[in-house]
Amino acid sequence: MDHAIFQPALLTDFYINGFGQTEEAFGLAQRHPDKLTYNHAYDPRNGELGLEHLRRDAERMKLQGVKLYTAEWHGDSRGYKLDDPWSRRYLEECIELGIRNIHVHKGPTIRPLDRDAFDVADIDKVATDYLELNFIVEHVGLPRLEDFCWIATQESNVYGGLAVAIPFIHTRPRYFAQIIGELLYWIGEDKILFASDYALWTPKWLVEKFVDFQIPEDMLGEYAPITVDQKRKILGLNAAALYDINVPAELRLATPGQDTVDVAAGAKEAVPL
Amino acid sequence: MTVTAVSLESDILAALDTVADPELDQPITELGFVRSVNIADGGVTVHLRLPTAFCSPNFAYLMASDAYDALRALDGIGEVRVLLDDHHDSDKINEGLAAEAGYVGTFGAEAEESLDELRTTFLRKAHTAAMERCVSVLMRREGLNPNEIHRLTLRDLPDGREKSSLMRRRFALGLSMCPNSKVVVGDDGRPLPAEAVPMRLRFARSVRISMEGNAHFCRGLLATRYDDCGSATLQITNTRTRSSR
Repeated sequence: MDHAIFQPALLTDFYINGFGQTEEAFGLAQRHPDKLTYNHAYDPRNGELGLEHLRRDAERMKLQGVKLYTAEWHGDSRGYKLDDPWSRRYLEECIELGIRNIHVHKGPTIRPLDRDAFDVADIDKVATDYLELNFIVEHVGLPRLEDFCWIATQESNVYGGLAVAIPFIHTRPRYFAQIIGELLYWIGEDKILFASDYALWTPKWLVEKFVDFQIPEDMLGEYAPITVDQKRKILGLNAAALYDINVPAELRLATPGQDTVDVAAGAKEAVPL
Repeated sequence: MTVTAVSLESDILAALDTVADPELDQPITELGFVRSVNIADGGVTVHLRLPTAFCSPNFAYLMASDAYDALRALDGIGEVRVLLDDHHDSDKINEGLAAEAGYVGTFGAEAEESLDELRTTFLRKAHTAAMERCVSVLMRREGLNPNEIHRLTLRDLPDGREKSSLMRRRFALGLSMCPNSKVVVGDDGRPLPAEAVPMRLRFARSVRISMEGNAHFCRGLLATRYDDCGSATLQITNTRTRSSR
């Protein structure tokens, strides 16, 4: 592992001391700045007080990114949408504070029950309105992969994070082949990011399995084989570009273009220029 | 066991077969979501179960209330009780169904109007996936030229599972059932210009893959949660003594 970025979840209604350990994680990142980047978590339902905390934390922690969990329970609320008024205020504050990478773990946002709890339309709205921010959608919108892909083709600042999706490489490799095949087609190799699900397991096997992974032979009619360069981008170079992490010369791509985002095949077709 | 009792059992199962998980577009009976059916003199009790305790409560409610409605329509069934087991909203949903409180009455402040829009959203997805399956089958079996797809009409589709599945979904959405209607249509049922058809189909493929993938995932979770392989474990007990219906 060359460099890791914390993606904390608070889950304060479920854990007495929180799921993520803010100060320990931040302390560890401070001691190993070459190895670790600390991303923060906030809950827009904390209102004005939370905004004040965010300002202080951003300064103290020199934040570049945050991780949001929209399905987090909070008192009577069982989730929020990114385009809720308070969430917008927090996103606008992120722009002010220089926090540019917004990782979103889309979970079931229960209220109101009238709508699809996994709906990803709120990503579309905020990505359009806040072009200064990058939205990295963890678990690539699953179980609404198709809706996520469609949105990502319309927005230049929407990325897909493989958290929760990548372990399918072990249990359901053919399903994983479809997921990665769809992502490469719709959002492209420059906008897919590896994620380790570190809180659940040690990720060494995930990295190794992904390095060795290939689209099964009988599916090659539907999807092109995954190239080594595509894997390098997904495993690290794309994240390095988002976080300005220095990449040693020997690990950079031989071909240029690693830091320019190319438009995916599906996006070109879907959005007439 | 009397002939009537046997036929009531099969009627009940047939009624439950018509109830689908809207998100996965598969019957709850095939998915293994029906845990048990108990037929007694007073009525029928059906227990449902889901892959997780935190499956979306709106879909859970839709399936439970659809099951309730399907059973209530059966002659001579007596009192119908549908109970959702092991879910974080089990009590709320079970009480709401027992009181015939409806969606808003069941969920109170968490509900706004109705679940109609949610149902339509997923019917559309189901239709999109069924449309793609029909075209894929034709391309595979008959080497249909991709440039010809926009001309395909319903009468060109061979009879079979894929076609009847497509027709059922078209019916449910109120789309045209006329044999001269185009197969590849938008969500509104209108035919598309030839140049828009390839992208519609490519997206339809993503919809199908996503729904199928989710169904595999949910089946896996259910099997792990209950340590069984789904529908084989549906338990039917029949203690009904009266034969009249």
